[in-house]
Amino acid sequence: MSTIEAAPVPTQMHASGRSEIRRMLREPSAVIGGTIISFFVVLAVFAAWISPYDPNTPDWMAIRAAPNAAHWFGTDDLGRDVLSRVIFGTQASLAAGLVSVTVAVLIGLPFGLIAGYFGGVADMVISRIADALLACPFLVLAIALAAFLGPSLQNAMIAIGISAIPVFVRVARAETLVVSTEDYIAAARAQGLGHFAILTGQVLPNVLAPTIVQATLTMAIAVLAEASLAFLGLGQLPPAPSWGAMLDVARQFLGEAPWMAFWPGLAIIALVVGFNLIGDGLNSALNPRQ
Amino acid sequence: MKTLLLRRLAVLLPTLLLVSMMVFGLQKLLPGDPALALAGEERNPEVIEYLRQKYRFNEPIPVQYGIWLKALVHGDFGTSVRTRLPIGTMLAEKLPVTIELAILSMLVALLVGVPIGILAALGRGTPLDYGASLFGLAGLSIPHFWLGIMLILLFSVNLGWLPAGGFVPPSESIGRNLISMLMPALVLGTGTAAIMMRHVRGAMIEAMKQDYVRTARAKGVTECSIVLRHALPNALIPVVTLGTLQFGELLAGAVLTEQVFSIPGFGKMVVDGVFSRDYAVVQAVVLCTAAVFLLMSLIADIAYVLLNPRLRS
Repeated sequence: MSTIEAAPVPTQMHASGRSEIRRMLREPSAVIGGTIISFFVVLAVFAAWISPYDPNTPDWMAIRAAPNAAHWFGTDDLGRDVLSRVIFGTQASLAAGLVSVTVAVLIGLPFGLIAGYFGGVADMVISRIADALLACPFLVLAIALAAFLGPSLQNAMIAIGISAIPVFVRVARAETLVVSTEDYIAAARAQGLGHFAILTGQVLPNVLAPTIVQATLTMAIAVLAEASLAFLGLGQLPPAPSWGAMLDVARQFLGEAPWMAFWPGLAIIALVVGFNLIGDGLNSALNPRQ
Repeated sequence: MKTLLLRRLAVLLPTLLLVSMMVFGLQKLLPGDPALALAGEERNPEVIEYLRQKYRFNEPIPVQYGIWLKALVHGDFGTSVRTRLPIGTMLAEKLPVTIELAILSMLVALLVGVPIGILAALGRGTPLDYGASLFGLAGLSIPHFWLGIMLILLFSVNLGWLPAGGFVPPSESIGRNLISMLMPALVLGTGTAAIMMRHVRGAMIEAMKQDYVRTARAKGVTECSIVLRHALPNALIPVVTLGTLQFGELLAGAVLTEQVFSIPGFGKMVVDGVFSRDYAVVQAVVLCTAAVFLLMSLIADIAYVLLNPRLRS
């Protein structure tokens, strides 16, 4: 789970274009993954309307109640409705996936572009720093950063985002190295275009597609990492619902209330499978040669 | 080979130095007085003063880093504010436990991932292949800690076959040690088995397309012999490299597994360090994990060249 590796993404792809979207819609994994993610997005956005109970209100008369007609997923050690907490927990997981990957892309992509385009000292310095970050296994680095920054969902997202930066540096650098040797870049230079214009106008559009594929796959890792940090008590603080933290509490009541552990875990798996499927589908759609 | 080794070492050492800078930089994230923060829950003024003197917090940051690095080079990782033990001693005690867990998990990954990968490649497009893909997806998507909890629920709570947690040192009883490590190794090995399976499948498909396989078929060599004697040895070369790199990842993955099964290893040490605000312990574990990871990548590079006669020549 802790493995984060660059997807084998191709060169020379364009992020936008109807043919790419059509190809994506023909990829069953992308469609299934997209449906799963859409389902969770709807749950997160409309949690307050969909959820049958308030996720934080205890019911002292229904402590650790098994799944029944009133509480489909049962209740937890404080009598809170597990289904409602799973629904509201979607918000923390999706936010962690989106925010941390956005942080990683916003920092990693420009540095990767600079390293690949300018080469030389810039490439050496950026690549060595990325190597050093990659040498610290993803989860260990995220735990260490979250520990030093202090436990909170926000800090967990920052920690995961920082840990994921080097993978985007690598993807962007590798793509830029290939794109930079193309004739149209030489032509742009001959036209007198500046480095910034070439980087943003010519190189970036070709680097975007593999970055999007990598971002989707990294979201799966980020969701797992957030759940792991929350499980260790370094993520969303109680009583706010979070799938990882729910599992941590459930561990203490395995014999009496196994449903407390079952549903949050299933939700994590479904969301991670969704991101992995959509990532694989995007990769196939944008890389027909593979 | 010597040139390769020197070239890789020339990259490895600066990377390790950069890692040490990052790990040192972590303590700069702490708010307020660093000596007070590093002391964690310890409020004894003498301890705080000792830390202030030891790390010379009034000196410029590069000087502080130099002092910290010099101590590290001499094997001084500091003292745990929780246990009052030298961190180096704690590492020496905990690391073998985690390494045992990682080795057993790697065995699980190899025994499960490699055969499934081969069968999936040979039966490409069949239900077996789809089943293998499903296993690959599940292995990458199921959180270790949830799988651990579910196995405890099944084998410990419901069936009562295996202990729910704890660790028996091999010096006490090898049999009980292996029983206590069975579920943790299965949990930690599943993710790696999925990665192995995907790579073995890909490598085998490629190997089966090669000219030497076609030649062997034309010579009338049996399919079983083609797979085992010709395709598999070539397909396994990248897998050996991957396995070496994954070993470093297993050390990291052990954090959650050790937490779930209460195994007193490296991972539990870092989590305990986090909760007792024993920051020097956290720094030491990150640094050691990175060092092991870099060492493994060096071994992977060397193994790749050694196993591949074309590169060796």
